[in-house]
Amino acid sequence: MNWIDGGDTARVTPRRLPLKTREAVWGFAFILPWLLGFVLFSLGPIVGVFYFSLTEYSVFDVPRWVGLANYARMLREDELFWQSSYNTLYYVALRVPLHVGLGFLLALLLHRNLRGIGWFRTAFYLPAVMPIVATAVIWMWLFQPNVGVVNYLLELLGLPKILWLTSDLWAKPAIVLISLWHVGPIMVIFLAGLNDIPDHLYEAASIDGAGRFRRLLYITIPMMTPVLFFNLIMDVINSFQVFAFAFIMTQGGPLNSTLFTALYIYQNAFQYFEMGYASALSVVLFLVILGFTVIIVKSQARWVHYERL
Amino acid sequence: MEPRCSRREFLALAGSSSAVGLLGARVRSAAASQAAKPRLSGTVKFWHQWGEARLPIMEAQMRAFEAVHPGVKVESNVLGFAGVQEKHMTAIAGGDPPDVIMLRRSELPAYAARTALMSLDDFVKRDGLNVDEIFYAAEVQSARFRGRLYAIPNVSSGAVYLLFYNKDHFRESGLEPDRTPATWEELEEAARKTTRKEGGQLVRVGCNVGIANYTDGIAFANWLYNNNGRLFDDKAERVAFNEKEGVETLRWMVDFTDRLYGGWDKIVAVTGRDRTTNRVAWTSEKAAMVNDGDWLFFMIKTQYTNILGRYGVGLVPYNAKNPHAKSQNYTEGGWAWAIPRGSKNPEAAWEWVKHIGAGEGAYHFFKPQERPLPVRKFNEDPDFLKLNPFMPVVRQALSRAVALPSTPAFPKVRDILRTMTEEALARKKTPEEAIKSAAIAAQRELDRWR
Repeated sequence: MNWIDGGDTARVTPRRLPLKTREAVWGFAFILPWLLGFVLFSLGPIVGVFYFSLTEYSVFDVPRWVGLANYARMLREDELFWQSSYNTLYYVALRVPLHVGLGFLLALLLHRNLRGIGWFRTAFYLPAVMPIVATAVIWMWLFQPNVGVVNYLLELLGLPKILWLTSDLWAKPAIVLISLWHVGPIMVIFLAGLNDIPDHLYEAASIDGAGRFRRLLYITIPMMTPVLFFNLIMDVINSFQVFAFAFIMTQGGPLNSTLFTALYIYQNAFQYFEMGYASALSVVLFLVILGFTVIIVKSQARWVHYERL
Repeated sequence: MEPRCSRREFLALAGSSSAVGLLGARVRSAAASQAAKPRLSGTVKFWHQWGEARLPIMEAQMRAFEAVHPGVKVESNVLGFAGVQEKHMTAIAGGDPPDVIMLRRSELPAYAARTALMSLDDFVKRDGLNVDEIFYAAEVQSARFRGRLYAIPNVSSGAVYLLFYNKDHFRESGLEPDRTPATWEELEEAARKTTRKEGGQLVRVGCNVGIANYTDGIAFANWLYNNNGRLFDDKAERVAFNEKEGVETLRWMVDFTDRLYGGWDKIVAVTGRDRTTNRVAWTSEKAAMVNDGDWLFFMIKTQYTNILGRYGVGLVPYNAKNPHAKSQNYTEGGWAWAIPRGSKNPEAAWEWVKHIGAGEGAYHFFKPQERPLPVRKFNEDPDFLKLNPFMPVVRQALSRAVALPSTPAFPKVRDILRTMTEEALARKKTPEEAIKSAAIAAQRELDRWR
């Protein structure tokens, strides 16, 4: 801002903030709406859950301090805690590699300059914008043991029918398969990563005689590891919170085989009115997710390449 | 598409509205004599689950009530059946609850124990309402918790277990189409005869005894009460389903399933494993019999019209080998009307609850559905009998029903029992092992509330 002082023409330049500070201010200004929402609606419950986990709390009444009793009950008495933990780990272990792998594979296939490729990219992304309830209902019919398309196709191949969602053996794999339907977002992130790999690397490798497979192995995959790392972390976090499909399609059955931790938390909080115990379960789930995230972050030094970043 | 009212239903509704109008005049004069009663005004925020085809019938009752109480407006909010409790919980805890809610009586103790509901005893006493006279004993008993009344029964809970069967299937299998299997032995014989296989695969099952066609229901508990067993002791302090009758019942369910169908996985391939799929198996004639409730009359009339006029209904078969056993239902569930803590308009809310739960509103809401009520005198109405020829069976079921001792632990115990039943049916555990471990887990839940 300039101004004239007492008739003298003295041009004063205001003191400018350092570039880093200015960038930080702008950065905070941009994330302010999210930050406000987070502080107002999420931070309180996040902090509160640690306190409520140490209380007996039904939401209708005031919380009553019980110390570590909820944790003791969870570890010593509650078989369903262990069962739901096993189910969740099973789901994560099966779903994450399949989901990330399929997303990467589809991104590789769709990373071509072919006519109409945009249509295919849209088609593969489309299921991600479908309402989850509609997706669940469609898949319930597809997996229906008698009239479902999946068993019809198995029969055509001469394979036996599978009970899918009505079998404690198959219900979890069925939910994993259904979850792969939402591969679109992860695929798009991989596609963006593939677009970012400099062409000259491929040209140099081709001149050196590297075929497609070697280019994939020695250029694409290493260059994609930062994206892979990001997708892996996000997928692990999301998979640990699996809820909607089991809630809609199986309600945790058969034989509690799809009783995942998030669903069990929901049951305790809203069906049994045990919000204190549900909070304790949530804290444990949070710690487990945190543990896995830390392990993955620590492991990145071994396999993630940041040369170009 | 949402089913619409037929002409007959419309006329019934119009008739009911005028009847309520006439009744209203009487109620007004009665109300005038009760000087102690405050004048009603304001809005009654009314949360319920009666949507789709039942909504216009409910709305007619609301308008009729408003005509009698001109200062009151009933504001309806249809919640849908899923996630009802969390909506109640957030509204009540948030301090802005509706004035009337519709909740399951099996969950009522869990609400009441946490002071989420208003006791209705003062209202009942003030208005001189003899609820024990008005309702079937088991119905009103299941609306109480620790001696206090917290709700007015909405639907009849004592007829949630009835045996519906396809008369054509009976006829073609050489069975009497007008005779319901009365005992477990007769049920097994009928189920065997009506079962069909093609190429070694089941295409029609007689009856899946492992599924109770009721959200709160547990197939095991249903059969247990028909074997003179019980889930808990009278105070709901000790589990009792692990007694001789319990083991016998679960063993029978497993043996029945294995003998007739070769195992649980074979039968669920046809019926599915929940109440909806099992019902669809029956209505699509892939099952000859189904254990279902009195709501099915209206569903058959509006949704499953292919079965209309071709089905029979009887009491749930009992174990004739047990000399003390008889056909009897238990009422642990069934919907009820309650006034949540923090209601802004409890006086008007109570008047509405009384009307829709025990008054003409209840009668005219259920009559078009051909569905029995928990109110005794309405079920005696000869008009009802004309509409629904199965009313005598239903009345019998209602009068024989026994109430479960109420406990806030029930929602958890119910899930434990469901798992137990499935574990035994799927041969993951023997019936004895399944009952033993379930009894330990259930007792632990009961102990929390002692």
